[in-house]
Amino acid sequence: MKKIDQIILWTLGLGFPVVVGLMIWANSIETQVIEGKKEVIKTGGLWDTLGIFFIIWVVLAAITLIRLLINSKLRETMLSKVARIQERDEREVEVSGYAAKFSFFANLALLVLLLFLSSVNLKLKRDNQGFLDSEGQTKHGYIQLGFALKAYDEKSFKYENNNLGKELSYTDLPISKSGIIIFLIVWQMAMYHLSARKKLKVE
Amino acid sequence: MGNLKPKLRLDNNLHVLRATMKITQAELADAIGVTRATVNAMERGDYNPSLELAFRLSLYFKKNIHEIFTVGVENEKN
Repeated sequence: MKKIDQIILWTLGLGFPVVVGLMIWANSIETQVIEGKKEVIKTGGLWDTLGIFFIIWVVLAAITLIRLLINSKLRETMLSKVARIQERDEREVEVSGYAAKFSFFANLALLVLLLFLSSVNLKLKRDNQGFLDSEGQTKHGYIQLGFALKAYDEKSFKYENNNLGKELSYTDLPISKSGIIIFLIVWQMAMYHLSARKKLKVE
Repeated sequence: MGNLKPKLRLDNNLHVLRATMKITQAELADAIGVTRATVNAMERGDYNPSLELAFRLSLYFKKNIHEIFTVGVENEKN
């Protein structure tokens, strides 16, 4: 791993407790403002310094996470440490391969189940007043399957340009739960086949 | 996996060779560049080494591969 990557990872790792602490502090200030306990909150230079650190940390985290997705070497080096995967010799590599396959299928099975649960709509109803429906029944059962790829809340990514000024905001992914699950299933399969084809390719 | 009939079983006499040389599993592991657990797994027959590792063992013990590893038939019915 490059020296710069090591520094970035150390900054992200050691900075995480600071960021969490800052979030708690920010939350307490916000609560005080809402409750009107303090009109002016004196935070001093520490607040500004930590604010700059927070911006740097978020930018570094975003860059590192995108690089993790692109750079396979960095991904393997970093995530093997996070996941505590040991590959000290050929037997451990083989065991790791079996475990990865096991994990792949377990994840896939779970994702398919979650996709099913996110798209099923079940409704059971009994009319206590004895009203009959068009089929002469007091008990009804509905089962539906369906999903939307786009999230219902479309305000996740917003750009406003009016007389008051310009505003660009991002709060969440604009994809529904089902959409994310489908994306993950397709992503897992695509990554598996991409990796396997590279290795199985006959020159 | 394929139609390899009968299935072959790889045995080894690593523990005998190791005892002859009076070395521990850890010492052998260090010498051939694997973990002690791998040497243990090979001795118990739970792990078949790669060709490269087999040659490393062969060089270390100064023996031919077939003097370290022997092949038996695991299941003749299949």
